[in-house]
Amino acid sequence: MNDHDDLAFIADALPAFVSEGQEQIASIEQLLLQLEDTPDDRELLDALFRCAHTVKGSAGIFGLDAVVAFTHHVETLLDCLREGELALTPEISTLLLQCNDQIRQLIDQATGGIDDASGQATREALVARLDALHPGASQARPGETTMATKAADQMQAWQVSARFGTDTFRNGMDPLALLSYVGQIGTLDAVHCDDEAVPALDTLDPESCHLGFAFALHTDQGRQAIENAFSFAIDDTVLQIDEAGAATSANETLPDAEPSADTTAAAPARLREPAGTATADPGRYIRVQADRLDAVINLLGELVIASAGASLLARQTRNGALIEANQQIGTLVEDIRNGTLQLRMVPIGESFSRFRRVVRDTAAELGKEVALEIVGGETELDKAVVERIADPLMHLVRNALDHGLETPAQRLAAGKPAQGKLTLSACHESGAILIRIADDGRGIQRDKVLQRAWDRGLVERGVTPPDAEIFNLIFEAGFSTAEKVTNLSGRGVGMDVVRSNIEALRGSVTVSSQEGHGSCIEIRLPLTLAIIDGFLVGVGASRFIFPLDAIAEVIEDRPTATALDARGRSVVELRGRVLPVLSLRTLYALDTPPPERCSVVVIHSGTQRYGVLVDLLLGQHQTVIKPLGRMFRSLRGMSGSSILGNGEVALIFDVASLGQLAMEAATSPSRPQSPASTQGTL
Amino acid sequence: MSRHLLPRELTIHTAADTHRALLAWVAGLGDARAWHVDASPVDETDGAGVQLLLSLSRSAAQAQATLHIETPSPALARACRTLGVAGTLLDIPADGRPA
Repeated sequence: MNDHDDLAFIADALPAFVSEGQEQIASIEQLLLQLEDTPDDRELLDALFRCAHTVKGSAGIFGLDAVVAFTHHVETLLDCLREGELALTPEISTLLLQCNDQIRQLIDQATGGIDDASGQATREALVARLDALHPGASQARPGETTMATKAADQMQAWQVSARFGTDTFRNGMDPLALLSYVGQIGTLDAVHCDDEAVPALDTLDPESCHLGFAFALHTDQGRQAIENAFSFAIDDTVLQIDEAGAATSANETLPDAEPSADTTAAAPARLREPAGTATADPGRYIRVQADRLDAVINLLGELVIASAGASLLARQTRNGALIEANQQIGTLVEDIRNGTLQLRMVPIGESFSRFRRVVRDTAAELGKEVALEIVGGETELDKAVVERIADPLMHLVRNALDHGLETPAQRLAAGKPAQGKLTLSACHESGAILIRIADDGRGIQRDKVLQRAWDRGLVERGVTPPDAEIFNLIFEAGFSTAEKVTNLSGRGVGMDVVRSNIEALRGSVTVSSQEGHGSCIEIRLPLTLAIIDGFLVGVGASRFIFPLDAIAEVIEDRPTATALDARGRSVVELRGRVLPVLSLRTLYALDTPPPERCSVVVIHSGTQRYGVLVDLLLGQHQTVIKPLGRMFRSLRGMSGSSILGNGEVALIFDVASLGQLAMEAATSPSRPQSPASTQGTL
Repeated sequence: MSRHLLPRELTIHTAADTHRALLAWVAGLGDARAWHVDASPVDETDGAGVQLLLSLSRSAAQAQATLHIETPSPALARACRTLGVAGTLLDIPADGRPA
């Protein structure tokens, strides 16, 4: 039963560990990269050590022995660095970064991945290199205190007494966990618990702490390390640390309460663990599960709708006071909704700083010198967008490094400084976020691009479009001008994928360039995926929403086209050009007679342009996007739904896939009907 | 009624409940000279849990009774050793091995 509970507890807590572990790994990476600029920064080294220690500690709780064993070697080396026994050279830094990658892999495997032999071999090789830097480390077994490997003459005995404050437990501190941790930085001896202040049961407040401890500690880590151990509880704790005398030999110390992972596990993981760096930085954050936040946002959406309904009813009563009260509620609800949407906003800087590593490694691999500059990392946007933009950004950064920036020799020959510059910047621009990836490399060779476009038939031979259009051709499928295909890029796949990924986020990407001086890629993204500016239209009794920015123009009040095919496709003439149009009534089999006159909403999606026949234009509408129910998942042309003020449901179009439905009309009119027949009235 | 079974989780999260249970148990003990607590179920404990046992031990002393914390689980024994109360609570040496 207990085993079962433990297993259940571990299964529940494991995802949290993996996510926290990944954060620690990311911090380690950032710290290592920062340390490359300031290799002697003691605070950074301390932070680095704490991160590794936390990973090892929490991995121990979950019995992830591979993580513990491997991280232990890293931790040992970090400890040497911290103690100044070793200097952090670029080689060590690279080694530690590689080790960090392995730890990340191991943690990822904790959730069920399978370790492959090559991973093990890599780790063994890395451990050998780590130990070569610090030969003593190899004898230390994971779980042992590192002191076992230290020379005896570095040992120092301390007499420590700590009286915990009344609120210690309530503040999430646990003397047991603290002492266990202290046991890891040295050898605890003669622990004496001062329980004089503990009252009898009848007068005890079981949640107040009345404990004090005195103990001798043999450690090689100095006063600061001991103070650090208590730093989480320092506000509540009266701490006294005295030097107990001359150095003692490690051999004389008692092998007492071993600070094994079990001891830590005995302390509830809910209590803050002293080794955790999450608490080291008392940033005022609360960690909230994203789906809880989404649930609140959904509820608020409902509230908006309900409040709109209420004010409608209020207006019908013509009771002035009631109407006013309802309006006020409506305003407040809007404010709350906007505030809640803000909660999903995260700074993009975190995503950006991941690129430090990419730039460092890629530049080294290519033999280039590149400085990465990050501007506007505090710019905020929806977490979902941040996550989904990471891959396209990665591709663009690699591309800039590979194709854009030159080797130092080439740069010097071109009269530029040997070190290239890559700038990642972000800023808000009229309700959207603008991300720029700029380099000062060779730029895009316009003529080469044009030649390639001619060769590939992307542009009619002999036609020279404006420069901006030529540059944007690099986002076309199957386009690459790289003369040499490298590991990184140049295969002609990617840039088109980058563009479609960005467009899937309702964003856009453009490129500008000056030959010899560099290029700049600009990505515009909506701030959030949860709410859009929509354009509401009606067909019969049904309501539909287009994303407002996809609408090129609207042609009002024209005779209803008659010559529709079975799937509601036709063409109209727009300023001398043929525009494919789509009748929603036919496409989705809406069961209402067409009006005599209708309107055409002209949509642009990528390079396509098409029209949609609608009955009514109902104007702009702030749209809270809700996912489609399972029944409608297979429905082509739709991306979501929204609830209108009167409680009706409106479907939101996915303009790209709706465009495909419209375009198919021209190319394969005889293809059998796929989605519409399954739909009744909406 | 004579032997009190400690809960599986003896921590700050259960301290209030355990405290109530112990108070009720002690109230029913009357003039018993020996208080017996079965500590075998405890597989999770912390400073607050151990403090509760220290408080129980103080109550026992006031009632001139002897507290016997019997068959302590490894988790409890380890916690008591770490906190230096193994001698007070468990009748095992401070640096002893698990009972």
